[in-house]
Amino acid sequence: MRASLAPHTLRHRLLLITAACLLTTFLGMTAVIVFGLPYGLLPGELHQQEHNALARLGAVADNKKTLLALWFNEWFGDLKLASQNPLLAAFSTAYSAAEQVPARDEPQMEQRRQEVIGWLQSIRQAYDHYDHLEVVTARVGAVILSTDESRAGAKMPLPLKNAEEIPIPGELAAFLVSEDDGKTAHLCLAVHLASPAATATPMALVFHIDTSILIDKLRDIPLLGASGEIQLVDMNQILLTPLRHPANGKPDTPLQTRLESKLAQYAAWGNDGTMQAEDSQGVPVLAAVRHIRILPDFGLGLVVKQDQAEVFAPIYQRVTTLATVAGAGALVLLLAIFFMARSLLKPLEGVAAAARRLQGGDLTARATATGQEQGEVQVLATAFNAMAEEVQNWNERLNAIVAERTAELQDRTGQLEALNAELESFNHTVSHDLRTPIRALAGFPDLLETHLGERLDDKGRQYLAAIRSAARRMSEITTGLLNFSRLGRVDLAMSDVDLAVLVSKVREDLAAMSEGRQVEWQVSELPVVKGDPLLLRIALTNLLSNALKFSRQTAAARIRVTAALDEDGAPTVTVSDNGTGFDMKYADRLFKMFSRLHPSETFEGTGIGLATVSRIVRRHGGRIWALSTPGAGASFSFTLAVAPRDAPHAVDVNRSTP
Amino acid sequence: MSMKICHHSSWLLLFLVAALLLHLRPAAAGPAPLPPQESSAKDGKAVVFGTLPYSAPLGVISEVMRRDAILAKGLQAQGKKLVVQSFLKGHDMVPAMKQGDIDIAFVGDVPALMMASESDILIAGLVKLGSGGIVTRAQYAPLANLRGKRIGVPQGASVYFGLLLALEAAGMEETDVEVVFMEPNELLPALLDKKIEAMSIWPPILDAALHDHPELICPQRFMNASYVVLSRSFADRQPEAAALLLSAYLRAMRWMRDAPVNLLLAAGWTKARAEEFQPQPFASLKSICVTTEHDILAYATNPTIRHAEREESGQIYKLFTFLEKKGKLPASASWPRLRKSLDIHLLRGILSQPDKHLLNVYDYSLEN
Repeated sequence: MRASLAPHTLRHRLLLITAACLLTTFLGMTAVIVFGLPYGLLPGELHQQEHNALARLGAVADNKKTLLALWFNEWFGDLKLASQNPLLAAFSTAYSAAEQVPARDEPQMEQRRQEVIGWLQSIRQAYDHYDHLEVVTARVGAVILSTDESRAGAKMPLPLKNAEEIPIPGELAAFLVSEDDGKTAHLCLAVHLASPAATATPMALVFHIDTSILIDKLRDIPLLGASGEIQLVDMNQILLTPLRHPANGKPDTPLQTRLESKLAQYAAWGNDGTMQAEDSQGVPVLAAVRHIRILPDFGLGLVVKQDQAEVFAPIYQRVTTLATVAGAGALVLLLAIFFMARSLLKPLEGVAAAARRLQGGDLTARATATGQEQGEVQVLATAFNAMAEEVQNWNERLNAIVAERTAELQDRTGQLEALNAELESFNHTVSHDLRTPIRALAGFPDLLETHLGERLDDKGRQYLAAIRSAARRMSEITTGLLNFSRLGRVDLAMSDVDLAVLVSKVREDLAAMSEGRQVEWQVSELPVVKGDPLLLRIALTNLLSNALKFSRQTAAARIRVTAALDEDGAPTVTVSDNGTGFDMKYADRLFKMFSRLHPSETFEGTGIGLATVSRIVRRHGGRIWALSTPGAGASFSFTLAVAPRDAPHAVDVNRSTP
Repeated sequence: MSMKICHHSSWLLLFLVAALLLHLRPAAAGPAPLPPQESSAKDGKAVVFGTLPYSAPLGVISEVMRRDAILAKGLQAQGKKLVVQSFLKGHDMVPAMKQGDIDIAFVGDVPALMMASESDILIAGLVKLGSGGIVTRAQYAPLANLRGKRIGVPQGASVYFGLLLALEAAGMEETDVEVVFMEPNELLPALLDKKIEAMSIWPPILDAALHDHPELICPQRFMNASYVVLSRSFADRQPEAAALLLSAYLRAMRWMRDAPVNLLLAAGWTKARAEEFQPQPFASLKSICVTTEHDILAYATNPTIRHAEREESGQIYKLFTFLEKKGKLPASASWPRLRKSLDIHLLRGILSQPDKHLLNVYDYSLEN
């Protein structure tokens, strides 16, 4: 079970792939639902919601713009109509006359004033939306008469006309003023009146409208949700209506706040459109902006906005619900797939388990065949079992053959070992037993020479010398054979051997051979190796003595001892000379017992030395070979196991040879 | 009145009357003066009037002025004649004014600012206060969806800078879209052929496009003004001629406001002139009338430049700083220079003497 849940199992992969497919499908569907498809193939909900919200905001904005335009149209209509009333003309004439002669017709002037005030009061009462109506001087805005008696003599905060400008009869004007109480603002609409004479003070009729009327009308915003708001600004972005959601919670004082937002800026400047932007409080909103130009120099900016968070909340909610439902559905589906996969993959897992057992060496492992599986799994199990049966049969057959061959080899090895032991024993015995008679053979010529004394003629002496020489040679051969035999019997005493020290000792041993000769020794840096010091001394003695021997006919002999590492890191020691050398076609005979490539008359020897060296090297796990060019010298190389240079214990290379 | 004139049956009736009037030559009052001529040549006797026949509200006034017998007689009395020079867009008039080829012109706010930067002119009065807009298909609304798309616009026109403003409002720069400069009459065909995805244009092309092609919408509109602009040397050296032309302009507005039929008649002249100038269908009479009434006649009481416009709180200063910020003004442009060109006296002087300047006497009997 644990193995079946490992990340690489089919079940795990199946679950992962299914989960990835579900996740991808869900994300893809959600993306399509929310963002739609490109090239207008399918509009996403986000776009749709945005489109709907902007359309709604635009409709509200258009409605309010139309309302405002109609109100202004109506108010200016009232104003223009009123400006043509004969009462005003009569008053204007009387006022002009009074200006010329102030004391004259004062009662008549007062009567005209009261008539106009009464008439303006009737307009005020009839229309209900004018706060007060008054006649002012056009240049400085001084109130000549007003429906609010307390304003007589007051001055408008803003002059209607700059001193440089000439008032034109019928010309309209509009401006906003804050009232003295600081809480209310008035929208003032004015029309310039015709003057009775060029010298008369130009007058204007002004209607004051409390801006709270606008506020009440504009706050009627049922379509805009909780965050919806309508803002009205003048062309300098001065706020006319208090914010529905003021930043500090306190309602704004009319005409005291400049609305610092892109929305207000574009609305005030003359844009009609829809925007995604931040409002004056930095909240992202969707908005429709409209500009209502009343007069060339007076216009209003209208901003109808709603927080994006509120607009898009249904989408976020829908996506959240969708994610929850899809997540739960995916979980159920994954569980179902898990159990289905378990049921479907069980036979396959049986095959896999059997394969693992087979791989582990259990050749009796077989896939369980319940007989219920159909199709590919059953075919796979049957094929696997047939293959396992075949493997098992082959294995058993091979084992039998191996056992048979092994037995034969063991038998032959035993025979060879016995034969070798007998040979070794024979060699040792012969060598050992021959030493005594040879020693006697070497000693008797001396006794015979002493015994015969002068009776021994030269011929006799010559024969005795020949016997002596032959005996010495036989002794050398038997000693060599005995040593060679011992090499196969003694155990190796392995230790660190400093080849540099060993070569130096051997050179000292062989000093007599080079007496009177010109021999150049070239010994390079040599390593510390692992080996039997005595055997290695024998091997090097043989190689160096051979080098001295075979170079003695060379006037300037040169013997070189070098070391290097082969590709396996094993040290390779080479002894080379510039002596007689040998023909490489006889190289395979070099390391055989009693094999000699040169006649004994030229170079003495027993033919045992190199065979001994070869046996020593082999016993150290190495190998030996030789290279030569006749007349140019020869080189002998052998390999050994390496040991660290700073070996802890010294090596006694002076131990006597066996 | 506007509500009445927009009524369907009233329009039909007025149209019939206008059609009749178009075919009946108005009775001439007195000897007919020389008719104005299309010419680019200027001599000492010619007063060259730059007009935009393909821009409905401005073209309407100039068409009425061309037929003003009072103007013609006045100029004739001064030994002068009116020469009308037609242009496709205001931007084309900027070099003409610089070279002294025209004396007076009706141009949009941006070309007027350009002229004030490069020539010594007087901006004497407001001719039109209307709105251009961006026309596109519904799929590109709101405007942010036009990112990377092609938008056609007449180069240097007010609507080009309206487009920049609208792009800024949508959080984009000019570089976020591909601006394609085209002549005004090329825009709608290109939009319908999908050679561009949107166009920035003025009425009545804008309204006609929306009316004739329901798949098109206008997601963004922007206000723009047009002004009557005089060469200062013309105003200084020929003040009487300048006064005659300004009077004719004020008279034309009053005449059209006097009766709906006058407006309709002027609309008919404008349509004929536009289609003669660019041989392709122009806007409908109704569209021309509505635009003219809304953009010109509503502000005709006092079209003078207000004193406040010479201050930094005015709309012209706002436009100037916007164009300066966008790097669209020549190096010679400066606010003091522009402010100096804003004249608040010339037109007001004429308005204050309506009888002297025959502002309320009409004679449009001139054959054209």
